[in-house]
Amino acid sequence: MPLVVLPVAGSGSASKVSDSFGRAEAFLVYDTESGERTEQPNQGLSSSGGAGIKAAQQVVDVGANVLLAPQLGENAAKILRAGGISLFKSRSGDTSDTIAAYLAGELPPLTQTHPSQHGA
Amino acid sequence: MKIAVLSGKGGAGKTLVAVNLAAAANARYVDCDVEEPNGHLFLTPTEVAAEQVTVTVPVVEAATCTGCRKCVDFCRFNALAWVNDEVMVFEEACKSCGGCAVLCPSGAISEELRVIGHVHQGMVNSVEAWGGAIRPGVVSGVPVVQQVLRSLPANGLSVIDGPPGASCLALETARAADYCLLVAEPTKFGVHNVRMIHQLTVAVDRRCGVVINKATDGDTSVEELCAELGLPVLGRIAYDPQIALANSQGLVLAWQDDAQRQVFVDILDRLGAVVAQ
Repeated sequence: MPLVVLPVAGSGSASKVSDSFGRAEAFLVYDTESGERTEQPNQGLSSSGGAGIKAAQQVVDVGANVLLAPQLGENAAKILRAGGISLFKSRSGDTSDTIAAYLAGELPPLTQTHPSQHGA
Repeated sequence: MKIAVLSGKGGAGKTLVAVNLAAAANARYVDCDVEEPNGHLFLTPTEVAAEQVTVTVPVVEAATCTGCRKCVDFCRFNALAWVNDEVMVFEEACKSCGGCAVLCPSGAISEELRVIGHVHQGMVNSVEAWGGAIRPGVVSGVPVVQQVLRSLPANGLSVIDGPPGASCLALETARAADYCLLVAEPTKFGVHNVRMIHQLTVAVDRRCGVVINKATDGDTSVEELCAELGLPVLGRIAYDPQIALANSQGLVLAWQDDAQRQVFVDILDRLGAVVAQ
């Protein structure tokens, strides 16, 4: 049951791919076998710090196999990689388009991460 | 008596004001801009006593850990994660509360020290020069600022050169002070900055006054804001290329001649009067 996860802003049919991973409003979980789409609120969103860490923990706990995101912080990427999750660089905008692009093998692997943003 | 010199941005003149007030008063100068300390360019002690600043971070013994995740769920700073059957520690997110080690039912978590910076002090003429600095790459200087402020002797006058802006570092500095001195340039940006740092001082219940640096006759917007907020203007340092030149050479203005010293003595006098009110 391969699960693909995307950080999203907005919910339901109006949701878009979120530019932020740790501060995304929610995660869209797409089951590539059943085609089922579910959403769950991002637990990292309300964190005062370490949002990316919290969000990555959630994605690991969901049992995700693949994450599609425009960008990722280094801490989140470390957790996701340790969890054996394949990372791909998503497009922005419509979530269905991004999933379709992933399924068609058009998304490049996400290899670059940005430094963590813990405020002083 | 501790006076915190603050401003909404770097380059407003915090170090100029703090160094020269300390020099004019033969007081203690304290550099709390631990991310980019620069007071030592003006006050350079020949003999320095330094002590390390350390924080504790959790270390998890994988063989003893049962994977209950109590530590991960407890940490509100998200410094711990559970992945691939082990706890992952993110030291830069840790606030050293030690709660995870207390909670761990199997005793798998111990704490180790990490050196994140240092506190130093030394004499320059009759000025006791203190300061702190974080190690490059360290994310938060808050523990360093706290250790500097905790280490200060209670006696005498301490003029604290604060970190720029309204960050946690500035908040810690303001909170430790008896009175805050805001340094601002007479510009729209300066007005914005005074308003911002004034809010910070209100948040920690500290009174404040304002010194206008690079003052010209043209722009009175900072004075107008001070009148609106009820803040005393405790001094004006003229916009003067000679000051900029002396500053660029690392000279302490208050030690150059009586006229320059008097500018800061006047600020000290007005400061003493408002603090006593």
